[in-house]
Amino acid sequence: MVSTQLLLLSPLIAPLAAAAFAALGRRWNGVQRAVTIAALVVVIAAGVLLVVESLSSGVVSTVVGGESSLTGIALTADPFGAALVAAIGLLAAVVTATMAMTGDDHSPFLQPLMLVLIGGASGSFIAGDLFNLFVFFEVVLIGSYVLLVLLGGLPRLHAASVYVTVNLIGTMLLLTGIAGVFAATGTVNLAQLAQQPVVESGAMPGAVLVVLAFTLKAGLLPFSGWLAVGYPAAQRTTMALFAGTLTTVGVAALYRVVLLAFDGSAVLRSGVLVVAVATLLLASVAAVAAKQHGRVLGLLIVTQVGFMAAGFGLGTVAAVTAGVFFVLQDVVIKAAAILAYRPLGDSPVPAGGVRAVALTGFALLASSLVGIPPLAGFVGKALLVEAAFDAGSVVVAVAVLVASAATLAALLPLWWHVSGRGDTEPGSGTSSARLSACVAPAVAVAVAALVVGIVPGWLLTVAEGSAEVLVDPAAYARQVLGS
Amino acid sequence: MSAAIATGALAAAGIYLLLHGSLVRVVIGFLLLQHAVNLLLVTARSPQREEAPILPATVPQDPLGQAFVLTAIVIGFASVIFLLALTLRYVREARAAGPADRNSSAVGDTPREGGDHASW
Repeated sequence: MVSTQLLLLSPLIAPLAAAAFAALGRRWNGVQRAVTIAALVVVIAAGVLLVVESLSSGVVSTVVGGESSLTGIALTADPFGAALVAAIGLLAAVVTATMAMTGDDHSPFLQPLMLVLIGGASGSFIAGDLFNLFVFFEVVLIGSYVLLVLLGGLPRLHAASVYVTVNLIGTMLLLTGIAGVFAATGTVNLAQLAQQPVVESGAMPGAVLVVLAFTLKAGLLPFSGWLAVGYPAAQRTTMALFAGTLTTVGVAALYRVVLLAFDGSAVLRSGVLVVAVATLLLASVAAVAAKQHGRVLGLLIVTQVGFMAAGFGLGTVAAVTAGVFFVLQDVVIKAAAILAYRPLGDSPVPAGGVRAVALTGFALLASSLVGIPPLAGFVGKALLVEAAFDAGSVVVAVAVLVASAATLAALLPLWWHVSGRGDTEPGSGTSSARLSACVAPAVAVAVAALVVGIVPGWLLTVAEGSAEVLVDPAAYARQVLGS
Repeated sequence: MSAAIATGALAAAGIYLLLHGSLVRVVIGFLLLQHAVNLLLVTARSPQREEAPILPATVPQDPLGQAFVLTAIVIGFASVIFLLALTLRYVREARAAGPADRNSSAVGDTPREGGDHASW
């Protein structure tokens, strides 16, 4: 099964190897860009192939560097993880395109660090056991620490110290939880854990700690303070990258660990659901109240995490389908919204066609975040509300609707800010050429959001296939361990 | 038993230090907490394992716990180095900025990119 192994390894090895090459070739910007683009193409292609493969013939899995799953490194790609690999690759491509077109990639370590982030993220999506999940999480985090402080400056260092400390505490929680699970069950392999009932095997205390740690890293409510401080401190493109990657990695880990490894334990799910509802309500209201626009965007990212987590907290097939659909479209759209907003909001832009296109793009992306039809975000939220009503959780449905309304209210001041400042004289602020370079990739994403919103069928197929695997841990274990 | 006490003591001291605002104490606190968790990992043995995984063993032993600790130590080491570098740079920039700026940055939690966008 060499080809399977290669397919599963390529989204890990390509970005990490490319990061090394890009760091070596840091004096030649062209080399860096070429290497980055090549690695991202590999990531996206591998993600798409894995989605097709896992949808048609079940979970793709392999064990690297050992004969059994005990000593080797288990990699498993369920449709959800595979689709996320492709989505994260797409996100990185959008960010890279923005950096290349604006020349913001002048800092020689920006692209290598981004590649490390992407390699770690795709590793965490296809990691087959808890401990490798932890390792890939750390790869992502160390990349993000450095990206955050790359530019220096006291406020940024201050934000970074908060961010790093909180995440290190999360790491310690995660390790403690993994130790607890391992002591109780003797394994950390997701598929082997799926075969053991979580309560009877005594793994519950460890499981709670693991879930708590992922909740922290996803930025759900009791721990979301670091996110709204840390993200706005980052550079524009870096913030978009963080928004798409870091919270997604946490949420994806929650999906796979709670639903598969801890076999959808009702206690854990309802715990996450309560946190998700609280996040939806409080973060969205806080976003309405926030004054600085960076903080508004940071809090809206937290709100989006609430939507993602609500889907799997409910646990029904329909709700998980909705959640998966929401996560997949949100990864790219959220980041593109930030990419489109910052050049418009940071400085005055001259009136004209470019500005109109940029504003339209931002309006589309923002509408998708709010959930206005016919955009991609609407489909995800409509499915989520429907699933919540079907599952009998009116509270969740209401929370989703309230949070969407609050998102709209929070985004309106940002819209007024960017749309009401066109009447500056030409020559000041950002030039039209630079603006078009800044927002072109984001506008492309806006068009894609529109297309997905009108023709959601294919993405829905992926989401349904993912949900079928995620809600059936026994079948997952059979497919992984049987192969 | 002794491992449990050591883990508890290390964790308690680590968390105590983490709760202080100073970055240097946070680094030391994190180091202690790290060791507490490492100790926990190495003592968390799988139910099937009876003796230390050293060859020649009568039955093949499960080396997973040891592998975990080794990896955790390496990752923790990298994190500590990053934290120390961050602390150093923070202290240097704070000194260069002078006492007034230092106070304002400690109070305001709204880092800015610079430039003319006051509302960011």
